[in-house]
Amino acid sequence: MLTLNINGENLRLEVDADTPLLWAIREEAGLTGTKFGCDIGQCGACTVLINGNAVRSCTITASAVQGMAIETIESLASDGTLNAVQQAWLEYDVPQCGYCQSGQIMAATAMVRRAKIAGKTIPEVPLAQLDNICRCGTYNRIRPALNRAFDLAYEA
Amino acid sequence: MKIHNLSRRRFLQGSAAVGASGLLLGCSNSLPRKTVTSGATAPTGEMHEWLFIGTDNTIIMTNPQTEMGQGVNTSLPQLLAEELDADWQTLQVRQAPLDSKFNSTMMAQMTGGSLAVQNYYHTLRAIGAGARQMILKAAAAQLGTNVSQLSTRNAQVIYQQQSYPYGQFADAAASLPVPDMEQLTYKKPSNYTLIGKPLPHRDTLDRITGKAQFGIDVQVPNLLNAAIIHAPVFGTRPIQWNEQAALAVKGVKKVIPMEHALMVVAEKYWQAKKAINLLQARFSAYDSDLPGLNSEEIEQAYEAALNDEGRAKIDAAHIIDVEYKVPFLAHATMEPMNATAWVQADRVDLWIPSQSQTIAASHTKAITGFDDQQIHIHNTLMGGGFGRRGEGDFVAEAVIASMVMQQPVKVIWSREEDIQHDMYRPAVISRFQVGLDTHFKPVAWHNQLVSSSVLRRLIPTFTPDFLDWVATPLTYMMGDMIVTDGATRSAYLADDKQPQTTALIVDTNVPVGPWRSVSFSSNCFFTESVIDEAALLAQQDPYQYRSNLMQQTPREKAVLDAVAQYANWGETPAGQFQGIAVAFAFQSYTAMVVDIGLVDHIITIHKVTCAVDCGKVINPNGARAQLEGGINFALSAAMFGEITIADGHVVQGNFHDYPQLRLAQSPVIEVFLVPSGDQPTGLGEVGVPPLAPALCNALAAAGQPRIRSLPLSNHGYQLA
Repeated sequence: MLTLNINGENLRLEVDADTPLLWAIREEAGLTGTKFGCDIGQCGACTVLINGNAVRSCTITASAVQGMAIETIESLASDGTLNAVQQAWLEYDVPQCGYCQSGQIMAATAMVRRAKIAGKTIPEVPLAQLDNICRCGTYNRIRPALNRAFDLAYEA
Repeated sequence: MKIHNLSRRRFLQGSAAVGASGLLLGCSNSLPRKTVTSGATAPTGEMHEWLFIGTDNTIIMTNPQTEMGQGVNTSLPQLLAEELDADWQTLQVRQAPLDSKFNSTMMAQMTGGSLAVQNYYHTLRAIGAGARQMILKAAAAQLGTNVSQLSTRNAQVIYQQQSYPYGQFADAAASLPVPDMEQLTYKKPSNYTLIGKPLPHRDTLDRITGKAQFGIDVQVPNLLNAAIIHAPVFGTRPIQWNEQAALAVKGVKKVIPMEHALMVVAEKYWQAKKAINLLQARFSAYDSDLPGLNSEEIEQAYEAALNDEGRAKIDAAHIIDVEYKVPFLAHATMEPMNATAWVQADRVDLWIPSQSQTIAASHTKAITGFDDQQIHIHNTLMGGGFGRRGEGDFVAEAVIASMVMQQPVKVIWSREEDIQHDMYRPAVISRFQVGLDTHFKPVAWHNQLVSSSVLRRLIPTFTPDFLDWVATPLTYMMGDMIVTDGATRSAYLADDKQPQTTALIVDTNVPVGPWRSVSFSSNCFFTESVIDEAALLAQQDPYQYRSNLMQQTPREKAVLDAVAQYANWGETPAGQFQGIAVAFAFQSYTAMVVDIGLVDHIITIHKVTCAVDCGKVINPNGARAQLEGGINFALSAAMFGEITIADGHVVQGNFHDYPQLRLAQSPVIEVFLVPSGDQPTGLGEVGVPPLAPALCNALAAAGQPRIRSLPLSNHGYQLA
């Protein structure tokens, strides 16, 4: 048993110390928006935010992140309002199969938030920072959507 | 096609059903392969009719094709909703249960072959138009007027500026005779509000909020979870494993030995996954008569087949005599293979991300002995398909697990299992002897290609068992028309000449199957590279050379000319180089120009320009998405895609050694739709074939040695 703070709630979860955060989130917290893709931190489908940083949740144990603020895709829209990245993804109709998009959106959300804090605009942010794999090949929409998300975040 | 009203029968049968009644109509296609029905009795769960209109104006359409990211949850509803004048915002779409009335032209419930829109273009519009006509007739009677005084919009009948929801007339409409196909009136295309419009995908909101339910997300009461390892060498068996070590892991229920795999079932997936690593399983040795111990052995077997066949006799002013090859490729869908099954005494429920209900059912029937009526398929969204999810192997494992456990079981493959136990795009070696006359015009085209047979592997899954013994030997006589797709016609030969293409089938121990665009993925690389070689030999511009030769194929020439124009062919800045290629695949024409820069072996792709004639375009937004995606999919394969075999098993196992394109490497893509005619043709796979040859032709334009094998990483090339 351990306690994880997921999406602002302290959850008592029955997981072993060595259970990866990914599977604690999916199987114990029941939040299936975070996806399993590779188990070795390569693809990014399992990306969540831990204390604001994008982390591939398959590569870190649940016990290692006790007491930290964990955010999953389910938390981004508040009161039905999409966050800047989701809104941009909607406007550009980014997803095809959508399986990787939770991870893409979480990673992009971290980029946008960090850049905003640092006062950076997108030309200063290397696109390569968003290196999650999409097998459907939605990159040509992710690129303008990422730009748009920066704009929306700055407008907000 | 005839339309039948099934409402009455359903009303009589459905007296115990709760809730609304409404319109139930159906039509049977004049083609015997299909029976079409649509209906209305507030269905819960499986909907075996095509269309439901409830008295509360709930409208539900059953989608005969499964959604894997290719957009059929949007494009197919557009067809029906357009003619029905349904409300796009409130229309509900469900995936079809197991029912042969939803069969595609592949004589199965199968989503593939870039056929979704082509197959259902007429049927879905007819159902929409027929239902609307019946609603109008009922409305006219109730409102005391003529149909000619009524119009429709957003699932409302409009009469004298008043709106009446369709549901108000659904019951009355259900008692009316159903219109004949010949009596159906269709909208004028100029009045379309859905067909031809660039609508966003219907599932987008769910897909960006984590709400979309994929197979891996299925939850049912008392669900157990399983991990699996397959015998690494295809066809071998587990012979020894440490069951106690696995059972000692908390939550583990059972180790299930299967013919070619070991499964661990636990309460949670992570427990099963942890335990499976403790099995320390040993497997039997390679015992196949087929080549497959390593990639070199397979290549030698291929070369031996070419040598046995011998070279063509060819007499021409100029001769191109070259050999090309491509490797095995895995699908690597983002969502690894998985399936959930619950086998009970009298029924089995399957929650599966599947491209084929029919194939899932045929595996299930073979294991359980159940018939179609006892098999209940709940198709989920798919995290990619690309052909892999038309297979039934992953479904069968879940069915067996549930039978053993007598509980629902979800089986999830690891990424390693997914890559190492695929049905691969076949490796191919293709030899060309092309004769050119004194004007460098092709006058003889001999192509001998060696591949293992996709058709022969598919036959047992597509044909009834009693036909297998006939069908398989037939392929030895007739060859495999799948592996020659894209190699048997040429737009560059005079109309009295055909390519002399011979497929030499060498089966290996490596299972093969359809991979997005199937054999077009290899044959287009070969043929469009060879014709580029001819152009360069002729010292002619590769675009002009092609265009001049295309005298018999106006649509192919049109997309070629269009792409050259859109890409500003021949007007590149210094240091940039262009390659061009064109394909006729899935009844559509696709041409591409790739603009590159090259420093040492680092390729910068400045732009991919793509022109497509896929007949009538139903959804330009979805069409563009498919082309963009197909190009990126093909670029991954062209740059780094390779599955190799060593000691009988697949060497690659995850994305570190089977890499995929990432955002920073993805090129700018410009897509131009060049519609023609009023019939839609294939789209989902057509973005793939021309990319590799156009890219390699650009390298040739840059003065690089001709690339005759993929991937480019084997030649030292990288993407910037």
